[in-house]
Amino acid sequence: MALLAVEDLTFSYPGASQPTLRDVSLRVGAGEYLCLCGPSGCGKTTLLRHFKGVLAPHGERTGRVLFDGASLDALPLDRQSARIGFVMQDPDAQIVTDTVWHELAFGLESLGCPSDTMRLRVAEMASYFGMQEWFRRSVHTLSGGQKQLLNLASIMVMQPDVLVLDEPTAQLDPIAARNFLATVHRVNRELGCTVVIAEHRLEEVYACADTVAVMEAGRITVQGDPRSVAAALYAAGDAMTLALPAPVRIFQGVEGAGEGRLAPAPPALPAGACPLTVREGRAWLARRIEAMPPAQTGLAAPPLAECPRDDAALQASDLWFRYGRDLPDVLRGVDLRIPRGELCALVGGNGTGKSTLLRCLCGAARAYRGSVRVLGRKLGDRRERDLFRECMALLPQDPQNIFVKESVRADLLEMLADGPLPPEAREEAIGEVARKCAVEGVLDRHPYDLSAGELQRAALAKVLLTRPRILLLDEPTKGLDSFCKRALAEVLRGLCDEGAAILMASHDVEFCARYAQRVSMLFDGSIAATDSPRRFFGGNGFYTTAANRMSRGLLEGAITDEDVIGLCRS
Amino acid sequence: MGFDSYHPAVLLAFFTGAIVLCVIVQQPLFQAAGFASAALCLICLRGREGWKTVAAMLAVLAVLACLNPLFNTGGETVLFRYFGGRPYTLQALAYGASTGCMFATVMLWFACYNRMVTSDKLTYLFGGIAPAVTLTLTMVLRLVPSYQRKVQQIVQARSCIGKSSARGGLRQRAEGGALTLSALTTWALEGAVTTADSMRSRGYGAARRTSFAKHRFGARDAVAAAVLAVCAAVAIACLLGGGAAAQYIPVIAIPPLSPLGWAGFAAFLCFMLLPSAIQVKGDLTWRFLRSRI
Repeated sequence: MALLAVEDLTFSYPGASQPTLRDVSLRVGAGEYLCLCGPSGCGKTTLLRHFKGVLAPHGERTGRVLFDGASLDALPLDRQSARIGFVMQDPDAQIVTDTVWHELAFGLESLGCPSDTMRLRVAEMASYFGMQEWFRRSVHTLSGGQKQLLNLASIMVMQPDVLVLDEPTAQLDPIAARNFLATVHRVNRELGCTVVIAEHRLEEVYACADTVAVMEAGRITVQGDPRSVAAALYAAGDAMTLALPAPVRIFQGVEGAGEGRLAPAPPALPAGACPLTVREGRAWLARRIEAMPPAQTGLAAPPLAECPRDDAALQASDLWFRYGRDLPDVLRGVDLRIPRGELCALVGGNGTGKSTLLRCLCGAARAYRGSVRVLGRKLGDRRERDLFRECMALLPQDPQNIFVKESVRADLLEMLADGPLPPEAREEAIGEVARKCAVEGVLDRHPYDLSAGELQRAALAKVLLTRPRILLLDEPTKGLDSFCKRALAEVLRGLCDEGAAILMASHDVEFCARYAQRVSMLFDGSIAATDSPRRFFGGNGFYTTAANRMSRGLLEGAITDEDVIGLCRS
Repeated sequence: MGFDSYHPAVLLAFFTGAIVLCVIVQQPLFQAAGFASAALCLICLRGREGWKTVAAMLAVLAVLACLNPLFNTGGETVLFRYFGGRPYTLQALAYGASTGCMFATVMLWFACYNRMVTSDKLTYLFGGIAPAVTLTLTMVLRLVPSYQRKVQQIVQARSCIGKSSARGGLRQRAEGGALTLSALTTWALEGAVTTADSMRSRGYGAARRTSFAKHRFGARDAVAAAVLAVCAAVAIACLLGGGAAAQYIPVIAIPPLSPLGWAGFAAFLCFMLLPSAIQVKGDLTWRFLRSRI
């Protein structure tokens, strides 16, 4: 019997012209891991909130939500609180109290759990999640990843039967996200807790899931085990195929009809053969290459042309930086040159100083040794006004921080407020930049109501109004799904074609491999290597793309899905 | 080891008593003893940082003392006249010093209080009586640092797109500040909705709340409470009996301490020094234990 079931659920928000959910039916068995995916705005959050009575949105609803065989509405509040756990997107705002231990205890305190039982439960969960080290810390000293783990743990202490997670990693960097999703998987496997998760990082969750449900425009279009869902999506030519993990995409690209082609897929393809993980992918690829050796087994990787000194749009030499007199150095002699018209990526682990370097490059943080030359002139010689007008701009990690007005349009206008443009030309400039960044549709919305992808593009539009010739981006792909990433990459490529130099700090290896022309790795405060993506990722064993990990030793220098597919088909 | 390991009720009783007593005494000897005890307690707790705060409070005391005669012209001994005859009197200066001392002492006690009575202890004490109020308090304690950080983030992010708040004329800066504040408000309201959801989804209001923290009221707590009660009773009796009378305006009249006054002073000093004494004793025990290892 299903633990959680939705039967013919149709729901519309008050005043909405059409329903957000239409005839949704879904069954989740006890102990199952269900992954809900779909483009942003397809109704995932609305559906998930129906699984928890107190969070269910107000509106017109038909159909039923059943928990353990009975209607969810009939479940009393205290039982519902304990048995159904819900983790939301924002790691910060979910936290109620000021210390880690108090946050862990909050749910049990609310339910009136006796003190001794509570102490034991909190103790065991803190141990399970490895929180002893920070048990007594104040919550504002935690990192985003730690906060989200705390949110998960403070729900797990209530020993829920079902854990519902609504895009829990959208605001985390990839390493913290991977760690968080691994913990969720462990909770499912070791504690037998049922998991329902909406997630766009399918690389991480797709292979863990027992069931995948794909939503589109309020309907569940495909539902089933991961392999058959992948096959069905490819057969239907669905855009969601773009979001599937690399092994699946490569398999389908090589064996199937390939995405975007209109020819029907060969029906003989056995669904069970499709690899989901890199390990399965390697095994399959080895067999495939043995059976049908491709004509070409490697891609040439010519060495990267050195950027000439006077051609660099941005040049840093021997930068040293620390946050305080007695604190350790964050940057230790960084040398970096960014040529005009190129998209350069800055990669490196957490806390290696990527964001600090970006801030040093635009003068927001002062290096205590070394120099930065912007378009041939020293950074210190430029007045701040001139620096940020038609010269340089930094888009911060959380793009929300640069929005201060009631609508996107007002925020864009703010950038032109003290500029030379006459008022009538301003609207035109905004229209142009909005078109370029594909945010025309959201100009009159409040910045806080935008989805992560829209917000990132709107922030880019705002920054572009200063007509920067050097653009610094801090984690531009954080929280974006594959569609949004592709849209962003197109905008960035357009800018490079116009001659702008772009430096982006990113954890997103796949994005860098696919779109960057030059990759630098920051390690221990200095640049460890700079190379073309093919040479850089092709030579790495761990810090590289899934496609490269899959084809390592079998194919030479293949770093993207297309590389592997192309070579296999040659 | 120290006084902060005592039961929260004892801590709260001490700080309430200390602050009330230091506010009502006007006798300079009592006031000096109060200030010195508060300073000692803070130094015991925070070491070098504590010295800095004490020095700052001494400066505040001096400034308040010097400023008072500008507003208060009572008193007979005129030191000098200014602004065409406005008197600056010795008595007003002395009265200012007394008020300043009271203010500085209370500030020092609050600094100690902040260190010793953490939010969870307060929640523990009042969680049963006023659960909503105490929960609100702990939430505020979480929000203050997170607002500070958000403001910093907004200011930093905007300075990197040429919208620095530290630039331009006064009007521009004020405008920038208002914008930052409005963004912060929107962000805070948005966050509050999520926090409320998170609370409800974890059963807030579903049952009578219990408390995680456990503090046992032991024998040493009882002893400390008894000492505090006796000392406070003697000191208050002395104050009510006029044993520590002092007058500054129009003439300074501080009678020498009577036997009742001396008894009251001893009790007062004993009360005020209790936390430092416990702290010092703890340190000594620690040193002694270590020397035997």
